[in-house]
Amino acid sequence: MLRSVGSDTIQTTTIWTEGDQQFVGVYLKAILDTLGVTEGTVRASAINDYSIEIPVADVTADAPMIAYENNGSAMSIRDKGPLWIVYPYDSAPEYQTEVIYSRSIWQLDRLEILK
Amino acid sequence: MQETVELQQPLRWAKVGILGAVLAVCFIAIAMLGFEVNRKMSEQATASSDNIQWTLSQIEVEFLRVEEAVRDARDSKEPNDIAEFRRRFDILYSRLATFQKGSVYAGLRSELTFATMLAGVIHELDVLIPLVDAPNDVLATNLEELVGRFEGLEAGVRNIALAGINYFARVSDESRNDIWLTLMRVAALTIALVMALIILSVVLFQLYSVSQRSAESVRAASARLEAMVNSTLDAVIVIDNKGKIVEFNGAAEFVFGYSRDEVIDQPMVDIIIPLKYRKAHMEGMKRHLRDGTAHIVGKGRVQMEALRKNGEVFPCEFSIASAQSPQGVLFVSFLRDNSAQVAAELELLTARDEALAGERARAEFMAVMSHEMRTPLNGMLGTMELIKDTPLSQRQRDYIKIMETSGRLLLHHVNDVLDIARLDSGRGHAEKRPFALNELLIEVMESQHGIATANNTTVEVDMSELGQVNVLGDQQRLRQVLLNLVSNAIKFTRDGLVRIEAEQLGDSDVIEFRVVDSGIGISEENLERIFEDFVTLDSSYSRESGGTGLGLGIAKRLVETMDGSIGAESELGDGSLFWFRIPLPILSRSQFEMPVPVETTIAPAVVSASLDILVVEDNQINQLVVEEMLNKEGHRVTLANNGVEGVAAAALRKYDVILMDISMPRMDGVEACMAIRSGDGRSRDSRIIALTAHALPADIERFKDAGMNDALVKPISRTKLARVLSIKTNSSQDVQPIHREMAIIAEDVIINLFEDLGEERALGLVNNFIQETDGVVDMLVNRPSDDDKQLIGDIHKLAGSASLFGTAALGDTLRTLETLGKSNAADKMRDQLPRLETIWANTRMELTSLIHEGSDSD
Repeated sequence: MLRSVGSDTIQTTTIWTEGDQQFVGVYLKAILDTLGVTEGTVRASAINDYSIEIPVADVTADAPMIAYENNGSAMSIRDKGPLWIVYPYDSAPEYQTEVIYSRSIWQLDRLEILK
Repeated sequence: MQETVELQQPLRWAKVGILGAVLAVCFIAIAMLGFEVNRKMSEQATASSDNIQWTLSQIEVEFLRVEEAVRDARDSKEPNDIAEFRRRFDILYSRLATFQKGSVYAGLRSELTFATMLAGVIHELDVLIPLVDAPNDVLATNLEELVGRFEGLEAGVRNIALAGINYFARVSDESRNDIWLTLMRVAALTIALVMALIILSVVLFQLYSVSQRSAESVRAASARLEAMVNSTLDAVIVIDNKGKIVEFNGAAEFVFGYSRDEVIDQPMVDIIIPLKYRKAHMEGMKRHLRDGTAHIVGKGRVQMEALRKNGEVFPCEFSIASAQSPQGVLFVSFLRDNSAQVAAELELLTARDEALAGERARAEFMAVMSHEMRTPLNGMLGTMELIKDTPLSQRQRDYIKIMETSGRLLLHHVNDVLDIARLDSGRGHAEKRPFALNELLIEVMESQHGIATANNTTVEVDMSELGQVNVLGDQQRLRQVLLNLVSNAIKFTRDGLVRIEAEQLGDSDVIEFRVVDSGIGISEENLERIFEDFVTLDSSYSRESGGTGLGLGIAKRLVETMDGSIGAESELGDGSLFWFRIPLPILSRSQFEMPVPVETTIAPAVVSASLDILVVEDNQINQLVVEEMLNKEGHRVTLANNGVEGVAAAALRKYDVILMDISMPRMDGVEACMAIRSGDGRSRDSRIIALTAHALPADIERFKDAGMNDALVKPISRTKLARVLSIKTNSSQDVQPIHREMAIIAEDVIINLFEDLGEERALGLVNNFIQETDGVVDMLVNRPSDDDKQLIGDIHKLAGSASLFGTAALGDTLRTLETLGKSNAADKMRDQLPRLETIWANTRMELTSLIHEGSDSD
């Protein structure tokens, strides 16, 4: 279903991995646009029930991305799959803050829109 | 005070500068440290940014969940539970793998225990992976073993967490320490900054008070200066570098007549510089501004002229100084109106010149008058001698005696005045010739013996101190000084003693002469003025002796020309002592010989045989006098009126003696003498005796050179004449005749003139004569008057001057012309006029060289 929404690529390093990473996925903005969501908060939850919240206002056209491929292959749970919210960390200092890191949730399996 | 302030100012500003730098450094350091603190703080923030500690504790949580899931799966063997176990395993594995790879955990991994533990646990899990990934039925059989394996891993997982926590504890300690250090530095710097600020404010305060003080003193100084400028008597004008007046004080207003407001901002050059100086002023100013060369600026006082408002140009004195001001160079000039001073100086100068001119005129008049008086006086005296030999009554004889005495006195006065004039004209320097001092003193003593005896006074010489010496000096002048002093002493001494003393002063060349008398003495108040001219003290003696009062003045002058000094000591009634000291180097000493007062023996007139005598003399009076005297002695006299006649007469007849006047027209005595000696006339070997007014050694020498045997100095007396005639020599035969052309100029006339009038006056007269004659000769030759009478008058006039100045040839020619004109031969006279040109040219040349010779030889 996500693949039907879009397929974009982010090339960046992350503080959790070694070396340059290529992520392929869907921008959250595209998902929200598809759903017609313009306000509120997105709650993202991981397999182990760790969850974070991203205000819709903070979502831009190029960040964050719901990545489903890392370095050309789908991600297993051991490799932080199946989904990972990533930001283009290298492109701007504002993507290297504590808040952004905390929102970079991996082993993502649910997204909820809270009003 | 002001200077110290100026010296300290830069120092203080340097301090301020240094402090400023310190402050800046402090600020920068604090800012950097602040930034550092900020960075550390945010580092602190990023360190906990991903909640590493939470993630660490999460490892244990995830591990426990895996253990729980594996136990559940072992117990139930349900596929759900098995799937749950797999997922939990994957989550745990993913978390541990993240620790091993994530850059954010690089620090953590540098903790050796942590890295080892982590690697150990991951290795164990890697071993288990095949079991976990096996199909459910295979996995179900291994669940029991897996439970055991996971229980075995519990301690390892715990240790990972603990090692991580330890690491973070240490890291945060270090970072706290770091921050503390940084904060301490900030604090230290802040304290330093505050200190520096305090010092800065102290220094600034000091600077402030110093500048306050100096501003105060500057205000006081400028107030003083302003007061000075306003009260000074000098005009003060200040201009800027464009020449515009910026200051014009009260004195300037007074001097120039402009008010200050009228001239401020006006170009100075148009206001006070006279037109003729404007260009020079502008150029000078331009030059000064261009390259700083100054002809006037800073060169002290300069005399100039300036212009007043009313157009008057007046002399002034000014100085200019340049000064730097914030607006550029300023020129400050101080100017003084000198017109009053210059006028006064001019007046003084004029007064002095007039006085000098008056003095000169007076002296000249005296000299000329005396000179002119001497010749007639000589004539009168000679004639009186002749009258005495004619039959006279006793009364007439007495009158004649009085006349003669008065005449001689008058001659004496005239000679004194001439002496004074001559000495005052500064003519001649003292001679330096060797002579025997003793002989001179004795000669003086002897010459005064007669007069002294008349006063019953003895004259003696005392040279016991000095002995007989030959000295180097001016015998003539010394003799005259001594004569004046001795005759003066005799005048005021009756029945007493006059002593002449000479003594060498120490080892020096100076000899002191003293003339001591036992006469009436001089009072103290008179002592001071006796050396002044025309001073005669009011005493019966002086009236009796009748001096001009010039004798001592002449003595004083003569002593001064010999570089000596003169003075007198006396007490009224107790005699006088006159002394003078002159440098008189002693050449040699002869044997000591005590001089004794000598009785003067007057040689009785020698009665000689009757002689044939030719008298050559142009002056009728002198002719008469000499002829009469000679006749009385029984001689035969022939008269000749001039040299030419004399030579002619001498050729015709053999005379025993020829008395030859020296200054004569046509041919003077010297010329005539030479003509006689060099010719072959009959009298060529006769004795020739010069009759002259000059007895100077140089003259006598000249006469001898010309072949004369002797000289008689006028005025002529019978005694002198008789003595000279009685001496017979044959020296004339040894005289070598000398050929000479007829004289163009009678040199002795000129010499006489110079002798009597002094060089300056005589030169003036001769030069006047030359100028006048230039004009007259030019007129006579080139444009003679058509009227014969007029022409003869002109010639006559010039002839008069010509003989006065001894221009013999010219005078002769003129007289010839005059004679022609008067004897109705005016045509011949006119024909011969052009001759004058050549004659005058020659005369002029000789006259010029003669007067130059005369002045050079002085």
